[in-house]
Amino acid sequence: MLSKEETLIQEYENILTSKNDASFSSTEFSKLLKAYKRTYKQLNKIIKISDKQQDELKEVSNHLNMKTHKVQALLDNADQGFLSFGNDFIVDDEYSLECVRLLGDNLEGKDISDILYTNDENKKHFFKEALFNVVNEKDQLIKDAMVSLLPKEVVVNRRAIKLDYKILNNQTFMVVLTNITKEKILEKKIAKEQEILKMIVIIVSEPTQFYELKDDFEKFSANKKIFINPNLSFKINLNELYRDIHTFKGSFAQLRMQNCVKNLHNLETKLSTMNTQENLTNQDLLNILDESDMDEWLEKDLHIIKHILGIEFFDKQHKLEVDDKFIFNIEDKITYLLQTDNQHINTYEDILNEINKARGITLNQALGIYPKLCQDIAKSQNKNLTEFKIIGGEDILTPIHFKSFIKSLVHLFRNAIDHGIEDLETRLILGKSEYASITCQIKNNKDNFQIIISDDGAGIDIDKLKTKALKANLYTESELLKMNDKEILKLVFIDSLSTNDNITQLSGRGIGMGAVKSELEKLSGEIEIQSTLEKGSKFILKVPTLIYGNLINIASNNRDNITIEYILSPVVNRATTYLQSDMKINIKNKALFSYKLINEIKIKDFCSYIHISGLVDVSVCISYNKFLLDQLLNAFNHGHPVKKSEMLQYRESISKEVINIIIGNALFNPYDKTVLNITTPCIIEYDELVMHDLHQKVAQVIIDTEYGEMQILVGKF
Amino acid sequence: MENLHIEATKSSPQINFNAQTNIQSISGESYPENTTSFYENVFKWLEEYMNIVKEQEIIFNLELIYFNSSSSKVLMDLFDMLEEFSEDGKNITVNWIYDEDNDASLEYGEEFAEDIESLTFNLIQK
Amino acid sequence: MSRKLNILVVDDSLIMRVNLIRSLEWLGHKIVAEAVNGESSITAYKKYKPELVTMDITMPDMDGITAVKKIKELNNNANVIMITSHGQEAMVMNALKAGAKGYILKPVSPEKLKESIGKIFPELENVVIDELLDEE
Repeated sequence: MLSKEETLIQEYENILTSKNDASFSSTEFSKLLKAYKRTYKQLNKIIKISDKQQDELKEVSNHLNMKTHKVQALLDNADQGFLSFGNDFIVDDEYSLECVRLLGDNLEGKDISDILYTNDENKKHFFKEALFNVVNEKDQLIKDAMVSLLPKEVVVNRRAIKLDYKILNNQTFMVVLTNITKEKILEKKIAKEQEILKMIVIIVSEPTQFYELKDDFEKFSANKKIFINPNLSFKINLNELYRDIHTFKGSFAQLRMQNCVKNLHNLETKLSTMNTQENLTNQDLLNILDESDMDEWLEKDLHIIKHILGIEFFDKQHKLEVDDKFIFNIEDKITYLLQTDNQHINTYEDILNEINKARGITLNQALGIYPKLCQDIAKSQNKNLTEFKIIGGEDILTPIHFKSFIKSLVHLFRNAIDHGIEDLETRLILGKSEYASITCQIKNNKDNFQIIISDDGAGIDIDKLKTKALKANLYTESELLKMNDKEILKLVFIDSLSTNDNITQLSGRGIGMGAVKSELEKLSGEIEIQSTLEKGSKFILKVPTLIYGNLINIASNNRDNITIEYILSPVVNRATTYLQSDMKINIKNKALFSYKLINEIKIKDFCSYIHISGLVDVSVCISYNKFLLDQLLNAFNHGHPVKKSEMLQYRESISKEVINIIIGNALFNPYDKTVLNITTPCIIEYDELVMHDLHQKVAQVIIDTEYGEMQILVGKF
Repeated sequence: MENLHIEATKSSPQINFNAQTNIQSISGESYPENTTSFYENVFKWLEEYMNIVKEQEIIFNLELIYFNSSSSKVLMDLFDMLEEFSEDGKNITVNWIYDEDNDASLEYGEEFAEDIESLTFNLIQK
Repeated sequence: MSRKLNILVVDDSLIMRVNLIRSLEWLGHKIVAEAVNGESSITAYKKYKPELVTMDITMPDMDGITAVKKIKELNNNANVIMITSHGQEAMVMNALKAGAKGYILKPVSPEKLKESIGKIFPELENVVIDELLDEE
């Protein structure tokens, strides 16, 4: 299809050929036609080339768009805002999305200082000036230095923004905006907590200062109105009040109690403006005081302190710190009086008891570390443990010599968690609760107390114990058959015997339990274990109470409580453990006890006798059958034979030692030995000794052993 | 005869016409504000030159990265002129030089070459 | 135990002396002398200059605490371990104030002796690392 021009050309070419004469017009015409053809050709070509160029342009343009979008996407997804402005401080069109979030929409065309400092004319002015300086500075080094002085942080729309400036090659400023609101909040929080910490540290190191200030301020707050003396002028009252407030402010500032400081400062400011005003009266001062809720200011600070130090900190206000040297001195003096002034023995004894209360901690407190320890251990093994408290024992003071015993209990608790309590999965399968439970109860009985530690765990596997005992060659099979469950359970206490196959870091070595037993025995105590497989275990530790020592009834202290029975009990207990555990002599049946008025009493072959004076006045006599005594000697001497000629000496010696050990161990007392005078034993050997004309109440206990009888007499004879 | 040397500007190409070496080059970008007045001198020089030169080989090296429509007309006028001289017996070679990466430039060269009949017109990759 | 200590044993009870001597010798030490009361213990100390003294607290005539004081007067660096049947705290305090370096509660066992001696002469202690007890 020919174009208009092509048709025209064709037409005229035809005319030319048809005419075919060399006239002027045709030659000219021919030239014209040629030129026209040429022009037409050129035109087409130019159009063609132009079209191609436009295509190219379109392609490049698209490409550019795509690139721009990609770059924009990158910038928009950065957590920072990017924007730029030139020497006119007008923000360029291209800025990233974060800028919109931080500064708002439609930033292009606006002045950067208007955007950053909308409300603050001063700052705006300074910023503009600074930018201006940078722009006009030719020296690059100075220019860079100036840029570093531009504001690095700004708050816009309640957000904290960090600003980084870059000057691009073509004198354009680029600003990178970073949202640091979270960091700022955290900084503030940390600063606040550090302030609180400082406050706590100062208060704990200067508690007296704190208590005094607290008391003073509470008084001031309660009586604030009284401070305004109606007989004095407004000015004088104002000055006085201002001084007091100022002083309080200083004191609180020293202790870093921020809330009080802040509020007192505000009050101060109010007062000082009042100073410049006219026509003010005392009533105005009263009004201001009315408005000031000082109790509330203090309470806010105290609340923080209570929260961190506990409310007990405020109880300590009335406590003293005393070197125990002072207590010893007082005790020594009272003890001296106790011995020399018989009239007032009761009073002195009461005083000594009071002093001892001050010094000691109760058994409940002594064991108080264990509940938390158990939680920590359980946590480290991924086991859940219900929180528990020590029950009972608030009325038993812990004597010093109980320290190692109480320390050794850690093994019991550890074992309870390690071996006793099963892991979560096992517990759930067995239908047990997710949270295991351990309890510790202290029972205070008349002549002994018990610490009962129980768990609801897996219990102790008796069969496993038997197997282990066999393997360790501790007992033969027939011996094991003879033992009842109770006795087998006690095997857990034998060192290096454990039913746990893996030796874990915590226990499984078996040494811990042995320590508990030995510590207990040192206190003449004993242990009983009750255990049911899959249900749990219970460890009952019994410790006989000893007079004046580990049992002081905090509630009451009645001299009448100290009777012969109370001496007898620990003595008999110790005698029993001595025979059984120390000397390995079997007791056939436990003690026949009688306490009655007698006139005469038969004493066994060998007897040793001790008199106790001081707080009580009583004698103890321990006598033995000859056979038993010899057995005791044998045991004490580890089986080494004794020459016949030295026999008597040895017998005397052993009976002295035995009574010494039994009485000495049994009758601990916290005071100086002189309070309880224990004489060195004297020996009586007689084949048939009978005490006559006693007319006394005498307590007698007979312990029947496989080798004979031991007779313990306690009374005034 | 004096050579013609016009420095390139942002919108106009470098003109390097040498009457001694007989190598004439136009290179750069061509979109001057007034194409006619810019290329007036160019054409004037060429007219003069063509009168002097005899049988020597005349080489035209054209390396234009960009040219607007007015410039493309100028180029075509140039080619027409050269073709005429060529038909008159002058030994003229035109080299359209394009960059390997620049497909468009090659295409433009081909466009020009299409209408050229008797002039030696080469498309040379740079 | 690598070292043999020269020890003086003081106790008025025959069986205690015999027992102590046996235990101490079993632990590898040498008994240079025994004394039956406070007075003679001081004489023995002067004569034999033992590295260690075990002293019973309850003795007739001069009691253990007084004896310790006197021995310390002879030699301030004397090492004395008190043996006692009662563990009253104030009592122990008095003994320590008098200069004793440790005390053992009756009944006495070689383990207790070893422990007390080890505290005074740590180089004799076999150091055993026991993780269980480390937590103390």
